Amino acid sequence: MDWSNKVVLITGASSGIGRGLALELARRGANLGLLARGVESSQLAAVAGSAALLSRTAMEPSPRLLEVVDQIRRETDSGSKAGSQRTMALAADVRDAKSVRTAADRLRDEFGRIDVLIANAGIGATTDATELDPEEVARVLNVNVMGAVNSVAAVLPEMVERGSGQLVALSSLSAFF
Amino acid sequence: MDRRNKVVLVTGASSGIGRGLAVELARRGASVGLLARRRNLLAETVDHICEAGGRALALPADVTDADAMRAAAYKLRREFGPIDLLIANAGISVNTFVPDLCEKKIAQLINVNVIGVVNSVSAVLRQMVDQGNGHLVVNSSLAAYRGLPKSAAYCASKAAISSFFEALRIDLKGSGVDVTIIYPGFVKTPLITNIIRTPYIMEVDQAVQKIVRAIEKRKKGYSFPWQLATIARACKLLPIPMYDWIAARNSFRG
Repeated sequence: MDWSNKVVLITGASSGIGRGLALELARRGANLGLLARGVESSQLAAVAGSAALLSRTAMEPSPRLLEVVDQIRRETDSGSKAGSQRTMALAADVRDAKSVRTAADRLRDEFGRIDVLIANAGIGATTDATELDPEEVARVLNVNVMGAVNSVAAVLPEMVERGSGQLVALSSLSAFF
Repeated sequence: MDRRNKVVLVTGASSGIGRGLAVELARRGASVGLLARRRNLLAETVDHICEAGGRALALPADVTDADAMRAAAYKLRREFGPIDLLIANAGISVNTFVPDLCEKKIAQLINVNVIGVVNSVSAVLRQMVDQGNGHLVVNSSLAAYRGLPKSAAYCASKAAISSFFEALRIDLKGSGVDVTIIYPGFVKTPLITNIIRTPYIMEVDQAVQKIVRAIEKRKKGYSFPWQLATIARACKLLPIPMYDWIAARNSFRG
């Protein structure tokens, strides 16, 4: 498969399997939107002074995500076949439908389209039946289920309109039992 | 098993299967807490039960509100004593269309169907484990078996609670608390109003009798009606391309 003309959006890209997929697809030449939770751009706000009001709530990519982007840049610069590969870091929280939509829009604005979604963001938690904490369960479902729904919702209309696209979900073998 | 003197909490008790179960268990001698949002419908059913000589308590609450659920369980315990049986039945259904997923509607459905069940369990489980006996029952659906056309959110929610209860069943082994997962097919309730094809549909009363029998036998899982349950089980074994081909041609929703 030729990845070099593809645009791939990966959620949960700052660590683990998401990060691994990002590095591998970059090596294969795919253009990437790497999405992960951001950090508040407080430093920026402090420096910018009068612009602080505007940027106070703005999120910027987390250091971990930027590290992944850096590593991809280093690898592609060192003359692999990736050539014109491009990567974009996107700060968004998959629990927040609007922020995922905004991130997907930014990626489309930059790269023109999204061909593949890899809905990978997820968390794990130990549930103790006798000390059941509804908030903890809600948190897991919010990230693992609604996160995937929000990601699909952000990319699907464009894919259907274009008549092509691919949705990939990272589930788990634990779904089989 | 004798339902006399048992204390039962039924969520989603203002209509459909939940209402039917509450009325039937009260008729069999249980003291029933009926929980739902719609106060007037609850009051009507409670009156109906009490007129027939049963014991019932209306618990107006929203299953998505964990604190309200805890308060309702407390109120039921204070009135009738420790809760022996939870029937987590409250659930909603929406059509899911592509490509405009309408994620707000999906979030709301997951909130009621999954978080609502978790809140219900959480409100009663501590007490059941402490006293060394109890029974958790969840009303899932045959839709939990595989993804169905135009039902992505509904199927996801039912698969979620089924797995949740299955995991609890293992964790609670030896605690004295039993776990039962009910997988109904189509039952004539307000839930199925936006469904156009309903093979092997059942009357509420008929479904209620089957569910009560499964609860009394403390079954781990119970799927019905057998015809649709057999089809659902067979679908689970099909390879993906074959399942997709069949499912796409047999949509239950418009």
